[in-house]
Amino acid sequence: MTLENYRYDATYCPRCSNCKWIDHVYMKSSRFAMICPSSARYLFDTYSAQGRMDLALALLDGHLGWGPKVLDAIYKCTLCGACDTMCKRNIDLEILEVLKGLREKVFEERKELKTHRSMVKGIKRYDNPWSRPRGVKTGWREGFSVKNVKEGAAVLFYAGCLPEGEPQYRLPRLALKILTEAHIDLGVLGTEEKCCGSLSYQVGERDVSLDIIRKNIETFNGLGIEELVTSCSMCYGMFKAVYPAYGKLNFKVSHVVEYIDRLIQDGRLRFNKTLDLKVTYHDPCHLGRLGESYVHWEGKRTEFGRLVPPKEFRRGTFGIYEPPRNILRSIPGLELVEMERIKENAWCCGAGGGVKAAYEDFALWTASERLEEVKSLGVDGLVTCCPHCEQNLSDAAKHNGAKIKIHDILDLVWAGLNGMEV
Amino acid sequence: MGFPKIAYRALEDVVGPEFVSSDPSICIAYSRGGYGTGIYDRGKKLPGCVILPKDTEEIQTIVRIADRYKIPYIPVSTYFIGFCTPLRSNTLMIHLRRMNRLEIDEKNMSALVQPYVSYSQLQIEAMKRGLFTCATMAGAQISVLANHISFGQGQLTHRLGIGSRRILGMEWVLPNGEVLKTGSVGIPGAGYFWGEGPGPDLRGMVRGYSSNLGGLGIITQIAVKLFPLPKPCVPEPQGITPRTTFALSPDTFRWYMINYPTPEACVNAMYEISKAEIGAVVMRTPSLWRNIRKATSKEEFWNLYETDKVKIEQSKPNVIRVLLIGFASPKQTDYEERVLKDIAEETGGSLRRVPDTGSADCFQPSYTNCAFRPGGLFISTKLGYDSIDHALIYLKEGMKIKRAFMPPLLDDKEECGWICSYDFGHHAHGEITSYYELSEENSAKVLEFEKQCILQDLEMKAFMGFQYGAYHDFTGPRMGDYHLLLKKIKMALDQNDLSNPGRFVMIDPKKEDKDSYYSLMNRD
Repeated sequence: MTLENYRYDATYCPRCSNCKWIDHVYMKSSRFAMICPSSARYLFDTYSAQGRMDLALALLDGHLGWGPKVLDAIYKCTLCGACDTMCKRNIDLEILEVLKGLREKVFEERKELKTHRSMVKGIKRYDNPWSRPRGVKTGWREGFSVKNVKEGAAVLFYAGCLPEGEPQYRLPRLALKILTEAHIDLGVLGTEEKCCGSLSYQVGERDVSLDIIRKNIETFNGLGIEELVTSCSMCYGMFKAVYPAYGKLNFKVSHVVEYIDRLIQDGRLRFNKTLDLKVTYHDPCHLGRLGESYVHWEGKRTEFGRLVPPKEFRRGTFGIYEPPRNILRSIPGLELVEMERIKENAWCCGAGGGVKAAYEDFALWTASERLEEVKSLGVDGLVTCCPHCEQNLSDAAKHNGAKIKIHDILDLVWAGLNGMEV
Repeated sequence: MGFPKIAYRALEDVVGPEFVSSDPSICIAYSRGGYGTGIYDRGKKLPGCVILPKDTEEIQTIVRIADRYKIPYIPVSTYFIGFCTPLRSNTLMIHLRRMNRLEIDEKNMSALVQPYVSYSQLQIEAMKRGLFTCATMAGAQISVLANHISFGQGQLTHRLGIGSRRILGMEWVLPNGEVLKTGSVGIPGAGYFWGEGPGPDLRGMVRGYSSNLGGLGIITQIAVKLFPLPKPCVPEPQGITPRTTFALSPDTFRWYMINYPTPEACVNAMYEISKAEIGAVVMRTPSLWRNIRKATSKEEFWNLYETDKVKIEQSKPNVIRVLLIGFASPKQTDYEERVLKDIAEETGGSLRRVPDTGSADCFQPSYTNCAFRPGGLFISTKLGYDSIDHALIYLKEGMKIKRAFMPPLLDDKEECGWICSYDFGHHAHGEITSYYELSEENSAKVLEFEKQCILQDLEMKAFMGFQYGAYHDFTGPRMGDYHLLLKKIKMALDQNDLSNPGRFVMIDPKKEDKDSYYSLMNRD
């Protein structure tokens, strides 16, 4: 869908500012009342959803040229979907689609940021955003025996593109170890696994992204799998909320936390070690607000802007919020303390939307804000279940000299199963 | 001609390059308002520059620079209403985003707020201390300061009164850059505890739907009165968007709807409730609000509306909503309930307790923008502040005009409008809300509707229910030349007409105003 398709949504933004604040009823303090990192950091209204609606209209109508500030305003946004969720408490405007449309327009007009251009090139050439050789995608399973899904398996484990040498490289391996422990019939694609296209999609490169999406759908559907499981929240968000717009998926999509939660509920996975830890949990945007299933709608606007047929709106409230919490609560000895901004009201980690690649300082600032929120809780660690969140929050902690330890939930699950130190 | 470079450099020196911009991509986000789109932002101009001052001293310098270079400026905070859109070229938008100081004086039950403190922020911090404020129905995201100084509308006003009277002193940067302190803060070292004095009490000068609107300088901080919560704790939030609310104890909070056959019967009951001095919220609500509130989407609203409209047309429901709060104890709630039941019976009303799904509304109103659901846009006319009786009369007459404008206005099957009681019924706010779609043709008709409402108010000698100064030149000569006094005030404080020009009173209509709302209103 192009930006023009969402002209109504941009036009009817009532400038109410609700896109900047968390749900007022769930507000716990004036300090952590904001929800849009871009608006909170850059202050001018152009850096909020409402300002970006004005930008969109001005660009559509040719009232504004492509100056550096325009690109700055479009891309200093983590595309976390918070504005969209907050807007939809009152008005069903597709704010996030306007933000995505703006980015597509940038690529259409060939005005993209150099960083994003080279990232997309990397995805095209190396099949990962890090511009590393394709073989790197299998390095994480060295010394670990797992069959190729083509040999026949009910579950495809999708590892995602992880930069070699980074600590997050351990996550697919950990996920596989845990699932293997529960005797799950799974396989991997190995070197044939292609990038999910999330990063190219987020920065607005439509052609490359659609090519990836269509090829992946064809590959996955041809595998005869029942379920695709991934440990990356960004990949999950793509498979769950974006892919179905471009083709039917003949399998279920799950994040590994959903799968592990099910295994625990079914008694197939039991924790036998006590973890004397007090932790808090950070909701990744692509698993939470942006992790709701895609809902197809085709129709038109009629009198007074009514949609015919009525549209089922995704408001960010049915993302994957409980499974990770269920897992943490079921680990003996572990105490989960909630932050002020959680679930659909969660503050983004700052890594998404191409921000980490193009504006490292903004990414770190956003993560630092999250760490400030954690500070007052007196916890030993911050848990998340997205490699991108983990990386950015860890970078911020290191940058600020914060003593907080950032865990992926898989670290704690593995420790709860095997008693390893976390 | 662009924004004067010399002025820009001077502004940059004040706040630093990070907090000022004349880039069109920054300015464009300040070129429109949401409420009254296509109406109040007619003739709008792209601002020339946006600046983000951090404190009063910076604002003083900015205002002096504007005065030196004759640059029009508009102070904005949470920015909902179209009156903040520039009517002059090269306007400087003074966005008070960094002015977000919030201090609560628990002992004296007051809060010091700067312009970018929202109701939700004040409310949550107050509640943690066992206190609360009377939030505006315009939404919890609205600036406490902006709402209090302009009027201070809210649901709980039946019990707590008008917000502008709850101001306990103001700090005000005048258009010449001097700081004026009102109320007790006018006395050095006295602090913010009393609005009336011993310093000057000028709250009346900035108050009103068609008054100040940033046209007399910039109010940089105020103190507002807080009240003790019946149960000193933060209520538990519950639900998921778009239905989130507080879980409030039914011992202390109870909502009721009383149905009457006529608006007159509603008003009679509102007086009886007021005489008995019970209730925290008492208001007559338009039937359509029920559908707006119940729906979770525009399409759901339209389904409900289509289903209900025949029923509404036939039965003509006239509903008052009452919230009882046991401020002193649950016994008070029980007592007030008994009294309310008696009143309903004696006045011929059909009373029923309603679910507390809207119980958060009076504390953290986060549903308000549902008003945009029916048509995409809405406008309020016949905004009055007088007695309950008076509201009934001018609203009923206003509805007669409105019927001629359906379409483009949504046919809401309404025969009166919204009447909200203040100070135990000693006065009331009245309003007709109308829903429309954006188009040139529709805007012209909505403008005409508004104008006819004003003419009717003049004829009826009713409260002049308009929202900004464009009408003063039209209504003033017909009402004892009051507009000349407003112009004198404006001239005394802002003789160069730089502070939000054209919104308070029009001193000197410029050529560029020819397409504006002002000109359209004063054409005849």
